Amino acid sequence: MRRLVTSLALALVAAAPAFGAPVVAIQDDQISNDPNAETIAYRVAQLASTGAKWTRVDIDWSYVAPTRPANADDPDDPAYDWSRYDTMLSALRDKGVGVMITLLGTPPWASTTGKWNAAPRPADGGSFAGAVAKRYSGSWPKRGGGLLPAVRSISPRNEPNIDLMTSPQCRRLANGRWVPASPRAYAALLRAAYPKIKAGNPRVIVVAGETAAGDNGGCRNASTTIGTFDFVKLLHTALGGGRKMPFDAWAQHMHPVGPPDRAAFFPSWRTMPQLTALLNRMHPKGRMPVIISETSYATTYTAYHRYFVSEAQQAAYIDLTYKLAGRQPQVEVVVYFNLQDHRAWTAGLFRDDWTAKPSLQVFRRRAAATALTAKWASLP
Amino acid sequence: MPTIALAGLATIAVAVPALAAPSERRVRDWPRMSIGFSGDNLAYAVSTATTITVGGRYTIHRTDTYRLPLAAARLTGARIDGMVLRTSAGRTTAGPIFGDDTGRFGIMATGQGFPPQVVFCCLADRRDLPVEADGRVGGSIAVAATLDGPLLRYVLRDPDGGHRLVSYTVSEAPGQPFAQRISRPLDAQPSGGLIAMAPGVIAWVDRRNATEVRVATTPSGQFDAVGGLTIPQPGTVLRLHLTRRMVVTLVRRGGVFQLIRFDGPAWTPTVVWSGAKAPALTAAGDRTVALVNGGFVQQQVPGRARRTVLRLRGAAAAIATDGRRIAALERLSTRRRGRAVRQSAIVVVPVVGPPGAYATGRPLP
Repeated sequence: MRRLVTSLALALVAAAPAFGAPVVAIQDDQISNDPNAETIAYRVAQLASTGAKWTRVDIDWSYVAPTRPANADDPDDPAYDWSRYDTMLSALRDKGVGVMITLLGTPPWASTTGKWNAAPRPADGGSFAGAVAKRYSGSWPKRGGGLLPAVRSISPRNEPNIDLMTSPQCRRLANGRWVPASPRAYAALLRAAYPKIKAGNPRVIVVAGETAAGDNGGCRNASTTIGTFDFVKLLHTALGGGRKMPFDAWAQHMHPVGPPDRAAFFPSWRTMPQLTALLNRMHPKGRMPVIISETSYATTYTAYHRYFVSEAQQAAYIDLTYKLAGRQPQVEVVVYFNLQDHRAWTAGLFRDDWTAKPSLQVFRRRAAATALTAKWASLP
Repeated sequence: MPTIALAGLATIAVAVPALAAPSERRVRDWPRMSIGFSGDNLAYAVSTATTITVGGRYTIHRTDTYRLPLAAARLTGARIDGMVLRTSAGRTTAGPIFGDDTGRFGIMATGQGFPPQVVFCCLADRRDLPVEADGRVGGSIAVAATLDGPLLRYVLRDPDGGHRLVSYTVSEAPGQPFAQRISRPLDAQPSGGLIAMAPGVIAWVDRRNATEVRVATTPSGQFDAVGGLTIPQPGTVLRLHLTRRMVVTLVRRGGVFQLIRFDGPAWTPTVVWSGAKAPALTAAGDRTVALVNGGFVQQQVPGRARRTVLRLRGAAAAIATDGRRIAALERLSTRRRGRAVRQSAIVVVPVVGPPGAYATGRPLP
């Protein structure tokens, strides 16, 4: 069986069309957790060894700005500590890996509850996104000489539809009924962030969404996940409907429970056309660019996802994922999540001891076989 | 290792049954299940397969764990949901559950196509914690586990045949390391899964000699298995159970099976049961031995005759005891509106004349 799965995976690689396939990207979610420059250099080298030319980096706002900056729009405000990210992004540039940024976390001073996952005050969130755009625009001086790298895209908040990342999701009306709150809060953040990001770097792509997968069950309490489709519809309404939106592309997370060609939970590759149909209503040309900014298959049980496959299945499913993505013309990038196993997420191409899983070889072949479109062919 | 003599081997006669009213809950069908006590809870795991027909057709295998609150030996209150393992790697088969007096428990979730996943339940925020999970083909495999104060200890069998004792901190107390994992070599070559752990102690039947049980301690605050002794057996060991101060073995000698308990610190042997056909299921908890003997669940406590505590209505699929209570899992066939219905009954009965629990001090092999 294992041999069959591996053979299937290799056959799919051989048959993969090179042109029009989405960008094969990967995220190392642990790179942000260790500020040690040597560790960062090693992790970046491992990431580059996968052949991916693009990566996604999460910037934790609460780490960069533990205290309120006097001028939040100024990246050089002394309250900001960018050291970890300067090192990381410079190392990635040196290895020829382009970066997409997603912001997460809320400093205690930027919300009413002070919690890490609190929905931020939009003005504060917007200013920080603008500071990120300026600093990583490719024209900001680097300490010690030279310029800091530019990033291709900035997304103002990770997973605005789940309580783990953004709270509250729902609010209670006077009549006791729970209704969604996060789409409106996120709409306000996008409105505040978009002009600030574009002012910082007009060329950067402003990405919205980063929505976690979830079904559409309605609010039951303050922490109920808002299903992706509901979230998109409610966000569209909160932004006034129409086609002019404060973002340029939509990012979606997809961690299927089941094979990528068969799993039908929302969203999935099977239901992607439904999602793009909704998103296209929010785009001036009716064709919203889509980034799958997280997709994965864990190979052991984790408390966060609770679904796992064998290592052979992981290899086959990753390959099938990129094949299916190639059939979705609006999907421009698929970011595999993550590079290396850790206790909370074991979907790595590498195990926690840095030994390679079978999926690494499959991923490398996919990355090598993918011709980058003009939009993603060169570093910013 | 010092050796315990088999002199004075006594046999316990069976007592006249006097059955307590059992407390029970039912589960649909006959899924693969395991049970174990966890403080004032009975924890259980249910393995099922779900065929998804939305979109494409495929099967998700899963193991769900639950807790049933207990008041003495009565099941009370609503079922508490626990962890949910889902996989496409292969069929799940539940797996051993190990609890402690505080209500915490762990599972060594087993199945085909993946190594046992050792998971602790639960942290203060009710999240479970995967402790040992290695998905590689031919990787290390957990073969036994126990909760031991602030540690979850388990034994790993490495691909080269060596074994390691792993001590994993699961304490969330301030100042305690949260997820410290310390691994030390264990000089053991357990034969065919014949290894058992309890707080402060490990026992195994070594491949090199299947007619003796080796016992070593895992002292509090230490990460090595130390000291130890050898307990000779009258035949080939087929099953092995362990509590803080008791080793229980099922041995075969010629055509005779014997269930024998060895009570520490002298490790005096007592034959609990003997016969021509091995009891279907056996278990040990604290100072109580439980067994399924034909259509009956029986108990045996120190100095008392073996006695029946439950008359089974169907086939027994699992039993467990914490010394004060015995739980059994029965597979029942009933009829409802003329149709055959399969159910699994989780039944709890008190141990009659329960021995006083051991002090929580360290055992002394």
